[in-house]
Parts: sequence; C-alpha cells; structure tokens
Amino acid sequence: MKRLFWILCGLSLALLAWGFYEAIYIAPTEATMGDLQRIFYWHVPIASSALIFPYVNMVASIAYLFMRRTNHALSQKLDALANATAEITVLYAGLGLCTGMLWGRPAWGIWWAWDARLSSFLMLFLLYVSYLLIRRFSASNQAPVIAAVLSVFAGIDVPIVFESITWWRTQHPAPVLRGDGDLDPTMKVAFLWNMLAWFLWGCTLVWARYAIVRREQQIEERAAMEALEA
Amino acid sequence: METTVVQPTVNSIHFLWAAYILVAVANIAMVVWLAQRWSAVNRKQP
Amino acid sequence: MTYLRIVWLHLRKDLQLEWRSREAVAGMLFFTLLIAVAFAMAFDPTGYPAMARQMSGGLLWVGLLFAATTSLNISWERERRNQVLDAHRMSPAPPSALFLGKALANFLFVAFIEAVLAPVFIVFYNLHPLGEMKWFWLILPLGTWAIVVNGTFFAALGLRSRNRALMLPAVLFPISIPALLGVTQATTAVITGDFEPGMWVRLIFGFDVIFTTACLLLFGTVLNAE
Repeated sequence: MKRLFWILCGLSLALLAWGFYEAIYIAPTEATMGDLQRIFYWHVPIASSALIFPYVNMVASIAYLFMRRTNHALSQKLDALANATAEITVLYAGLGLCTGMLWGRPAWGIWWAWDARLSSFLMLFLLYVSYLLIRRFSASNQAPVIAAVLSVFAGIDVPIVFESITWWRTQHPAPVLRGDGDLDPTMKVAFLWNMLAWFLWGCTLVWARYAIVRREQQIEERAAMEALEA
Repeated sequence: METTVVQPTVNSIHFLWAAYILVAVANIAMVVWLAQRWSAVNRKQP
Repeated sequence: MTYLRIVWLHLRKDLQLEWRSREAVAGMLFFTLLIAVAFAMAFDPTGYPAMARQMSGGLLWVGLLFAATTSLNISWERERRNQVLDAHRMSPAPPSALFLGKALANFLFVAFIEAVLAPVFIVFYNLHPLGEMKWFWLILPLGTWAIVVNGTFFAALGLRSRNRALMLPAVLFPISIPALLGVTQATTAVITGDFEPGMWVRLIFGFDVIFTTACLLLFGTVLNAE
C-alpha cells in the first residue's frame, strides 16, 4: 500500500511539473487575453476536481450511515474517507474561486459575478466549510454521524442551489463571464495534461489525509480499549 | 431576454503569476501540514 | 398513542414553556425591530421609495433569518436541562415526533414575530405592495417553515458541540440559500409588482417538502448519534 502511495505521489508531481511546462512554454499565447489566459490551465482543472471529491464525500457519508451499526471497521474507513475528501474539496474549491477572481479582474474588469456557475461554486465551498466546522466542534464520538447527516443535506441541496440560481439569472440577466469557445489543439493537449495532473494530485492529498485520519482513529480506539481494561 | 457579455479588457501578467504562486503556496502549505500531522500521529504510537 | 397526538404533546410542552418564560419570543421581537431600524438608517427607505421597494423584501427575510437563529438555539436549551434528552431517547415515542413538535412550536413563534413586525416594516419603509397581496398568505408561511425546519434540525445537530451559537448560522445559512433566494424574490415580486412570484413560491414549496422529509427521516439518527 505504501509503495502505491509513493508511486501515485511521484506520478502526480511529475505530471504537475509537465503540465506547468506545457501551460507556460508549449501552449500558444491566446489572441484576446494574452499570456493572462494561461491561468486557465490551472483554474479549470482545479475547479473540475473540486466538483468530483464532494460526490465521493457524499457517497462515503451515506454508506457510513448505513453501515455504522453493522460493520464497524468499514464504517470507520468510510468516515475517514469522507473527512479527507471534504478537506481537499475546501482546498480545491477555495483555490478555484481565487484563481477565477485573479483571472476575472484583469480579463473582464470584475472580480466576481453572481451568475449560476460562480454562485453555485461559492455555495459548494461554503457548504463544505460548514461541514468541516461542524466536524471540529462536535463532541468527538458524535462528529462522524453528525457530519455524515450534514453531508446528506449538502448533497440534496447542491442541485437545488444550482437550479434556483439558474432561474434567478434567467429572470434577472446579468453580465456573463464567457471564456473563448474553441480550444486550439495544442492548448487542448496542455489542458488535458493539467486536468489529469491536478486530479491525481488531489487523490494523493486525499490518500495522505485518509492515512492520517485512520491512524488517529486507531490511536483513539486503542486508548478507549486501554481505558476499559484498566 | 438580454444577456450582456463582458469582453476581455486587459492583459496583465502580474495576475497570472499571482495565481500560480497562490496555488503553489497553498499546496505546499497543505503538504507541510500533512507531514506535520503524520509525524505527530506516528509519535503517539508506542 | 397516535403519532399526531405525540406531536401535539411535544408542541404543547414547548408552547407552555415559552409562555412561562417568554425568552425566545421577546428576544426575537426586539432583535428584528433593531434590524429594521438599522437597515432603515443604512438605506433611507422613505427618501428613495423605488429602491426601498426593491430592497425591503430581502431586508425582511434576512432580518427574520437572524432573529430566528437566536431563538432556535434556545428551543433546544430546554431539552438539555434535567437530562430530558436522555428521557426522550429512552421513550418508545418516535424521535421525529419530538422534532416535528418542536419545529411547529418554533414556526408559531416566528410567525407571531412576523405578524407583529409586518406593520412595523410597512410603517418604517412606507410600503404599499404594487403586486397582489394575497400571495403573502403563501409566501410567509412557506418561507418561515423553510427557515424553521432546517433551523430546528441543525440546532439539534449542535446540541453537544462547543460553539453552539456560532455553529447554527454557519451551517444553516449555506443550506438555506435556495429558500432565501426564493422567498426574497417572491416578496420583492409582490412588493414591486415587476414580475410574477409563482415560480419562486413553487421553489420554496419544493424546498419545504424535500427538507421536511429529510429532517423527519434523519432526526432519529441525530438524536441517537452515539
């Protein structure tokens, strides 16, 4: 297991370096925005990965709620996975928002726009920050269940948020930030390398965090056992 | 229904580098934090 | 005992306790009044009637949201004294009945606040709705229920957490954004008369149905969360 982790880590770092090289040196300069457009090669992959990990969190949380009485060992692993993916979601979503703002201000003159995509993405960030807060501040033996329940609520809410904000924007149109449509083939290659690199790096971070949470769980269980036997 | 499209206006390299540095720093900080937690967790093991 | 009778007993208990102490309602009343005044100072509604009409819907609901969170934590405080929660867990009554009774009680308290403060808002902001007022009979209850049902549930989530007062808004506000959007849009639609509130009312109704179901189904898990 450990070797696999280091292989994944090494592979992601290599791909990140390659993606960076592709983004800065190989991809051609874009016509309207110039070199500023190169933010796109990190912004979109990070934001896209930020949309994948929350689903893992939700599935793990639901599975945890079903299995916590029947299969304790597996449910602990699921809880650790939920915790890890939530943290990486917050990191990636936060970075997605920041890089988007740093791209938007010089490119389109505004830091932010309350359109469907940006608002929903902000909501995702806020929901998972609240998930982490409730994990931190709940009594430790209850935190997994309470966080799992919140994850279910967040999962139900995300499509509702997206739909409602889309309706809002259909009714009250506002400026839309539009990226340029077609990607030049060299750009597409650079983009895809970065998509892969950032997704694998996200998985590396999730795995590392998962391992740490598992160790913490085992230490707690051992301490509880010793307290019982004393 | 009208939707105004905001056109790109400015080309500023500073923002590009700010974005890249931000992403790099955030990820490195995450790695450092993870490493600290890992060693803390392993120290507690007998 | 039927389910509804158990819900009624819980509801009656909460109403009686509140009647004796009046802490939640008094707090909410004063808080919302202060928010109305503070907003009026920030935005000068009588000087700019068109703008006041655009904004008062949003201001009303944001004020109610903040006021409701102050009382929602208090509503669970009653259950923490005298180990009442353990008694609830041990009783054979379904846990969702406890939740529903408490949510209904909270709904009545917030609705009471709305009834008292709607005239205040109308007076302070010189509101006369340009749209059809009868929509308010739908918007106010549905919107209030959206805040109260999730609020009661999340206040219960924070029951044994350290930072209870901060936790509730931090968790409630993001989840409630669609309801907040719907209810402010619908209210603004009625006050300004610019567009139809029907779509938004449907959104709030759907939100209410989905989250009431989720809360009823998951409350047992939360109550027995060890």
